[in-house]
Amino acid sequence: MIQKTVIVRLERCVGCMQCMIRCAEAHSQSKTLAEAIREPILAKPRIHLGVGPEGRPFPNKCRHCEPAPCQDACMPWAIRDDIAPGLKVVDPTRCIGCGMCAMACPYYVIRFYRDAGAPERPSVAIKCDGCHERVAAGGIPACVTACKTGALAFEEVNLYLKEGTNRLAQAAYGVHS
Amino acid sequence: MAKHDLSAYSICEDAQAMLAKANKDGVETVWDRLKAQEPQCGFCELGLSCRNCVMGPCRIDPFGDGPQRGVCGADADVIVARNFGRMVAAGAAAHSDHGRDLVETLLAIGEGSTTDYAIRDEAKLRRIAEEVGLDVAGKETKAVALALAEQFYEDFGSRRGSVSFIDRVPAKRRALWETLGITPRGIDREVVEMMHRTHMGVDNDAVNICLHAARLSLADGWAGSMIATELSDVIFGTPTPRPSKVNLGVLKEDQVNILVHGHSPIVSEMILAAVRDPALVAKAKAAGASGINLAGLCCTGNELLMRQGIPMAGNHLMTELALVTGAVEVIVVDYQCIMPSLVTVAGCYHSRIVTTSPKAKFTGATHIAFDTQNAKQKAVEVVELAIERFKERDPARVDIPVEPVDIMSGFSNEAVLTALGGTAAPLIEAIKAGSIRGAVGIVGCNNPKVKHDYQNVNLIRECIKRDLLVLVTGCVTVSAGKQGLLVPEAAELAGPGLASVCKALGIPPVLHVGSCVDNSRIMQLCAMLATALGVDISDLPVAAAAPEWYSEKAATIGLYAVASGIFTVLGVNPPILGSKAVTDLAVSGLEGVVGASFAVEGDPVKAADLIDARIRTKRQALGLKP
Amino acid sequence: MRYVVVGLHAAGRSACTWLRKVDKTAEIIGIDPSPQPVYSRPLISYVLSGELAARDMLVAGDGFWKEQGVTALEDRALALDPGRGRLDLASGRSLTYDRLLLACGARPRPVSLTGPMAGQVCFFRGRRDLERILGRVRPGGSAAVLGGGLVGFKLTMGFLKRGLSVTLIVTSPRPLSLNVDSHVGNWVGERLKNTPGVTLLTSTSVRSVEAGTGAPLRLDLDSGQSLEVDIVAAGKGVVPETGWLADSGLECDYGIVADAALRTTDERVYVAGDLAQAPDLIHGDTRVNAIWPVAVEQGRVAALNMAGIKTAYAGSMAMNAIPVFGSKMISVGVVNPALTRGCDEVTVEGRGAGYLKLVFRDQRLIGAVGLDAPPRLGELAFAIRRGLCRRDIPSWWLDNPKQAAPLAAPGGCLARNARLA
Repeated sequence: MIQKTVIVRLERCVGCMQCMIRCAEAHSQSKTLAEAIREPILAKPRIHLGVGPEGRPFPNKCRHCEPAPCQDACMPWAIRDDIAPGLKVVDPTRCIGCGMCAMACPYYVIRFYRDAGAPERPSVAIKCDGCHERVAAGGIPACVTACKTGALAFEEVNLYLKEGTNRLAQAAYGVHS
Repeated sequence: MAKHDLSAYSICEDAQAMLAKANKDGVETVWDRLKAQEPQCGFCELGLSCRNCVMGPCRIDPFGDGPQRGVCGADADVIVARNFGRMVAAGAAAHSDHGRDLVETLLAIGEGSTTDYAIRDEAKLRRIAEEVGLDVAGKETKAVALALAEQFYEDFGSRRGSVSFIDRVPAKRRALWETLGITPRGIDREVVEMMHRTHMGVDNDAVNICLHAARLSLADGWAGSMIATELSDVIFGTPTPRPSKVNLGVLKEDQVNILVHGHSPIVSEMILAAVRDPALVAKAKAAGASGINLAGLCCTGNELLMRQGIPMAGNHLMTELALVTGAVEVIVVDYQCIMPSLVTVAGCYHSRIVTTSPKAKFTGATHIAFDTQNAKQKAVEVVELAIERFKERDPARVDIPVEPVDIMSGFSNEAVLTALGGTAAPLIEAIKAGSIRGAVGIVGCNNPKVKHDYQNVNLIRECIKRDLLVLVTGCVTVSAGKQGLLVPEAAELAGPGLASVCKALGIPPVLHVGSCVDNSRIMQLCAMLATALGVDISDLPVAAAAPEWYSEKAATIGLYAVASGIFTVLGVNPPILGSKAVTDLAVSGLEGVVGASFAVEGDPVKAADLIDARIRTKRQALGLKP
Repeated sequence: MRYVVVGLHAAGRSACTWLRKVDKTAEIIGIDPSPQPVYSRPLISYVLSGELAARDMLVAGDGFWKEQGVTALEDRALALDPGRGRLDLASGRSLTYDRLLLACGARPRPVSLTGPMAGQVCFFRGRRDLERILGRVRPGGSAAVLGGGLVGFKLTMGFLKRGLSVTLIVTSPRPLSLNVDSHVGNWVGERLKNTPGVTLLTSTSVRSVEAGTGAPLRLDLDSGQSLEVDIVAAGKGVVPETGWLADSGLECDYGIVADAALRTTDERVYVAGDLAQAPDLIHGDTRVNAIWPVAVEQGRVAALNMAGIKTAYAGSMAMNAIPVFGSKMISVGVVNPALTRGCDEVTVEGRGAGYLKLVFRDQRLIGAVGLDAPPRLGELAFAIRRGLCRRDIPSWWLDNPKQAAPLAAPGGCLARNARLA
């Protein structure tokens, strides 16, 4: 089965932050917004909006690199690739919150919060887990579901690149879409 | 529309049939558009977004990391309260503007500038006029009408500083409002002040905003809507019990079908007169129809049903589906709750949407402007248009999927008192004895976020099982009627106490009291009972519920019920949950302030349990067996 | 095909895993004096401080080697004859190999001091060192730590958490002198001085360790002072375990010298981890960078090359991240002031965004050090690898470090000047 991944079409992002609020909701205990915001340990989004020049929004999340610098740096082996195929998932029960992964990550996608998955730790590494439980149940990642402009899509990466190739072809013949 | 189990969308056979047909005919419905919108904005769902000024738009992150204050410095509590305040203002404005149109009509009658409208219940005209302190002895009808209209106009203003019907409110409740500073002063004034307060940099205290919202809602419930109800009775007749029918089966395959939609009887009564015009009936026959069939949707349908026994084709979520039958020539509308999609849906068939009010135009609809001078004549034009449309109807695309269901309607307070023998005493005795343990107003709309009619109907069933008399208005009327709950035979489904009372009086366990402005009838009934018992409304064994509400008007109604002392259960989340302070105030804090609060619970059994618990507590406090 | 891997810690485990990934059928033999339990050595400082229990150091179960399809021999490599392709083990056994990976790491550098109790100085490399230390630790006791580097720092904080008073003895003028710049080093020094229970002695070294009177050990310092403590621990760096390879004929400098494929001077022998003196990204020569992520990466690159998959090693780089006094301190690349003379430095102290210094040589980013800016430095490590030019860092990035989009964003700053290595 060809793996799908979250594709970001940056030019379509309007900075509404729906991806962030639905990501946090999807990683809460109750999985419903009204209850999630009242949980004692608040879930946090794993996708973040950076602010670029002139306030342009930039949705940023883990790329699930292979090999992953964060995984190499993780001494307790808390970043695992045996939880979901093709994804690097943090096991909060193993994470010691040392920050090496965030330091190794070139994309600024790992943050540190207290998490309901390891409530006794003051903070653990929190990063995108590919919504692997949702996907395994036949769904798609919460950020993609939330995005109303198509800035985030859940696709086979080669199809996205095929689109890009066609856009290039158009441009090459002087047609700008 | 996705091809899956259509019974997931509605409990009604006619809805399910028309959903399938819409799918087949390629018609987009409100459910399709909801799906395309989902998931909806989480910030807005929680009330945590603000667009009041262009320093924004702002949002508050409920998960703690992002901004916790808008650009102006407003926090979650202020933003939620401001948004809610504007919601209540919009709801009050809608119903109260409807009331103002009735006052204008009364004025026209009083001035003699209209021949299309007249007073049908003269006794009520005089009774109301006397009640509000006008001297009517020996005065002519027109003079009384004029004076009453002037009186009610002042309810909208800032000068008098009070509303005409304030004396209907039990003394204890009035005293409480005085102490809280929430006695309504003037309808338009409260609305304008709310818009002022919620402008950036005015009222920045959530509780203060909510108190004004309560005052504003009271100006709707005890003035704007109440004026609408009473004057509609005066001008068009006070409802008395009568039979009718409900669901899409009221459409007739062999007749010209006209549906009235919107709110005010000002237009729909005129359409009724026109469809009975023999000349027009003849035209219809000449076009191949056996007659002209009039039926109603939503509140204006409720108005015609209550007073004239005109059948109802459906409620909010049925309005598009009525067109999908392919059998509707014209839907003629005034204002409120009319989905703009009706124009598109009509365009898929031979149907037309006719708008009548300068306040409510729809791009693509046919506009036939009504006023008090030309109403009857314009109504004729509407019917003629419908007859023309009938010729364009494609019989192959017609599907009226059900046979209509019987209902009983017309339970104005006057009618209820008459049924009880002239006073509320028998009702009070029944309540004391516990055969009727209490009364619940189950009101409001439909919302495609919940299964159509499921929560409305099942809450009603649960309440009557517990010997609670149910009063319905608005869209819930149709929900109940379609499931056979608006007939005396429904007493079979009631608890033993309620069943015995209903059988003795020959009434259903669920009484239709009118349209959404007629929720003021419920307010007045509670006031009468409380006054008779020498208590406050909050002491009565009563409750209210809006199980499938969608509209801002429903938020206002819920708030005026609570502010009047009636525990109210909402079946759909209000957009206040992003503020703990406002949410806590709504679901518990208000208890200590106005003696009632909200609850948010969609599940009908759980909602009924909450209501039952409340009734139990109130009964015990009154020294009655629970 | 037989692969033999000497040393089964960070580099060796990484190599075995990748060998098995790319070659499902080859024989893989691993040699280590203690292949079980499978644990992560750096976690010992967390156990010392009490944040982790000893069992939390385990990263895999006892069945790990079997699951990987690796024959793990509890043995020690004694001698290597690359010409014959033969490895001699302490048990008397010998192994031939098609490819050999040397990953036997480094041992703590001995401390140059004298005295009858010199052998009582504990090191802090693995679990046995940890057990030795924990056996001597008691709340209310006293400890001396020798060495102002990261290990010394972690020892100090660990003892403190265990309720001991600590004297940290540093030969340099400030702690962390090799790891961070003077600003952060001084900051750490100040915080240490102000921490109750900690005495910081800089520009000081220990001459000898004698038996104490009030406490088990007495340290005589070059300042003339003496102090009595229950336990002495040293963190003075590591020395690659090249001794047993002295006669092997492999080129050996500080560590075993490796090329860009992590191959030694023998084409069938590779090296990875703390033993390896591999191409250094920034200095341009070969160096030993004895840190965990480097070992793991080198293990992978060496394994892939051993399996015939050409994989270039871009070069190692120093990088560290540790919490210090509630802040996260990070350094990457070259920031040691002794090595950065002549370099341009840009310091950013953002509003609530901590401290960040960037070091440039000939316009290219070669190092960064920060306090409370860990995520930024991750992308800076990447930027250093890619040779980010100073002129391509936009001013708004420096002005708003908390909110700025990553440098590595597509079409962003790196795109214009990527080093096409």
